[in-house]
Amino acid sequence: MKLLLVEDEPELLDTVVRYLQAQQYHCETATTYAQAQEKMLLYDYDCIILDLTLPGGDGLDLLRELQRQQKPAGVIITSARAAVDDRITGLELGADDYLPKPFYLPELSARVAALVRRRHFQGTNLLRVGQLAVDVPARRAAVADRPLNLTRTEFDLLLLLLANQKRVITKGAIAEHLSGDAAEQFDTFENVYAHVKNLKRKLTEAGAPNHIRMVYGLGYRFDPEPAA
Amino acid sequence: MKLLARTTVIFLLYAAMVAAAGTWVYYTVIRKLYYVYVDRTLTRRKMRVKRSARLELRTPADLAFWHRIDHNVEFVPLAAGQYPARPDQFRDRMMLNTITGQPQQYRQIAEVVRFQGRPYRLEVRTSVLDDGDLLVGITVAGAILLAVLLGGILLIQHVLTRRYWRPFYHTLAVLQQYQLDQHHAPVLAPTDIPEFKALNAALTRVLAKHQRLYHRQREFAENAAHELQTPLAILRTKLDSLVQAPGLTEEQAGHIEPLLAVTQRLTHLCRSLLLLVHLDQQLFFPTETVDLAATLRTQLEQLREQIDAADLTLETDLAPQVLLPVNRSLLDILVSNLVVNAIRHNRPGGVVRVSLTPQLLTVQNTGRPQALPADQLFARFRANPGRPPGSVGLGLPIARQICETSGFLLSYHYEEPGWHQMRVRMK
Repeated sequence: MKLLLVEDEPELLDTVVRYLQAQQYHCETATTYAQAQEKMLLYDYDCIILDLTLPGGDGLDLLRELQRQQKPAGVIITSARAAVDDRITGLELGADDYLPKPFYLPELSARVAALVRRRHFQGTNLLRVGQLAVDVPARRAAVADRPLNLTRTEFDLLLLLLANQKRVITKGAIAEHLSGDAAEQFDTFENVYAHVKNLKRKLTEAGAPNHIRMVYGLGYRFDPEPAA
Repeated sequence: MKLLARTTVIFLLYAAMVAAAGTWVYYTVIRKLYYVYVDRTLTRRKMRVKRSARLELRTPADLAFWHRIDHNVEFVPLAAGQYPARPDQFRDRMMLNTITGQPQQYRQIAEVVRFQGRPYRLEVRTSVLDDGDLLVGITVAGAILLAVLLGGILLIQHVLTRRYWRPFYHTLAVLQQYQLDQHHAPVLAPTDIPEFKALNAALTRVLAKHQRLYHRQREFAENAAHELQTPLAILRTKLDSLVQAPGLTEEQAGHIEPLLAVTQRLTHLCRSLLLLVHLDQQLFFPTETVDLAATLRTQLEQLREQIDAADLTLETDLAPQVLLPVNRSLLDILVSNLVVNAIRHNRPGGVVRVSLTPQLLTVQNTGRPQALPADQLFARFRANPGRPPGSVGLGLPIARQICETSGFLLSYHYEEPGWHQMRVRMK
C-alpha cells in the first residue's frame, strides 16, 4: 500500500512515517504545497494524509485539484484547524475522513486501514490472523469458524488492535477510539480495562491464543503469534 | 417621556401660565382705558347739557321732556338742603333698556345743578360694555392667538426635530443593535450638526477601540490554541512511539503514563478553547433538522457504561420525537456535556434523570445538598467547589455558548434535597 503524507512539521512527519512504515505501508512525504501538488499529480496513491495548513497554500485547494483530476486516492485530512466548516468543506470536496490534530498514531493507522479496506475490497474483506477471521463489512468475527459474539464496542476495539499489530496502543488512544470526545471527560480508564478484559475472555473461550497483552499499565499490544 | 414630549409639556405649561396672566392684565388695562374714555365722554356731555339747560330750557317741563326724548339725561328735583357731598359722582348701575327690554350696565355721572333757582340732580349716563363680555372677548381672542402660536411652534418643532435630530436617532438605533462580537464596526450616519458630529466621532473612536481589543483577544485565544495543536501532536505521536521502544522498563513506563494523561488533558483544553472561540465568533454553523430525542437516546446509550461505572441509576422521560433546526455537532456536544456533567458531579448510588418535552430539556442529578453559585457555574475556568481534579472547567461554559448560538436558554436550578437541574428551554 502506497501512502503520501503531506505535513510541514518535520518532527511530526518523521514520527508518523516511522509508525506507518512499521505497519507495512510504503510512505512518501511532501512538506510544501508545491511538493504535494507535484507528487499527487504524478503518482497514484492508495491514501493521502493531508494537512490543511501548508507553506505555499491551503490543503483544501489541493483537495479541489485532486477532485478535478479524478485521482483515485483516498484522503484523510489531519488539521490543527478544528473549525467545523473546514471539516465539512473537506468532506464535501471528497475527503474520506477527518482527523483533528493532535491525534493518536494507532488511531491514524486504524483510519488508514479502514480507508484502504473500503476502497480496495468493496464488501468482501476478510482479515485473518492465525485462527482469527474478521469480516469487517459484516462486522462479524470468528475463531476457527466458531463465531464470536462481540458487542459493537468490542468489535471496534478488535479492529483498532488488528490495525496496530505488534504495537502498544495507549489506553487514551483506545478510549478515544471507542467513545470519541466523551472519553476526554472521564479520568479513569476503567471502561477500557473492562472492554479489553471482555474481548480477551471471548477470544480465549473461542480457543484463540492469548493475543492481547497489557504493557506496564500503559496500554495493550496485539501479538499475531504470541509466545507461549 | 421622550425628550421632545418633555420639552413640549414644559413649554405648554409655561404658555398656559403666560396666557392666563396675560388675559388678566389685558382685561385690567383695557377696562381702565375704556372707563377713562367713557368718563371723559360723560363729563363733556354733562357740560354740554348744563350749557343747554342754562341757554335753551325755559320751564321744568322742558327738563322732563328732555328725559323723555333722551333717556340718558335726567333732572331729578331735590328737596332743599339735600346737597351731595361731592360735586361730581361717577357710578355704575343696572338699568332696564327700554328698547331691548333687558337690564343693562350703565355708567353715569351725577351733579347738583340749579335751574331757575331750584336744585336738581343732573344724571347723564351711557350704556357700557358688560365686564363679563369684555373678559370673555379678551380671553377668546387671547386663546385663539395662543392656539395659533402653539400650533405653529409645535409644527415647526416637529418638522425641525425630525430633520435635525435624525442623526441622533440613527446613532441611537445603531447602538441599540450593536454587539461587541459582530464583525464590522457600526456605521454612523454623517451629519452637519457639530454636537452630533462630535458625539458620533467619540462613539466611533470608542467602539473601534473596543472592537479592536475584543478581536485581538479572540484572535490571541484562537492562535494560541492553534499553535498548541501542532506541538501537542508531536508530543502525542512521540509518546506513542516511545511506548513502542523495545526493552521498555516498568520504571520508564511509570514516567510515561502521567505524560500521556497530561497530554490528553492539554488536548482537551485546546479543543474546548477553540470551540469556545468559534462559538464566540458566531461562525456560520450550518443547521439541519435534528431529532433531539434520538440524539439523547444515542448519547445516553454511549454513556451507559460511564453511568454504570459510577454506580448511578438513569431515569428517562423522553418525548418520542423533538425536531429542532440546529447544528448537529453542536447539539451532540451540548447533550454530551450536560449528561457527562450530571454523571461526574453525582454521588455514589445517585440518580441521573433526563426528561424531554418539545419545549424543555431537563438533566437532573443528585449531588451535594446545597445549591451551586449559579453565576459562577457558567464562568470559564472558574473553580467550582465540586470541580473534580483533572477537569478543565469548560463544559458548562461551552454548553451555555452553544445554547446562545442555537437560540436556546440554559439555566440552573436547585431543588431540595440535593437535586441539581440544568434546563434547556427551546424557543
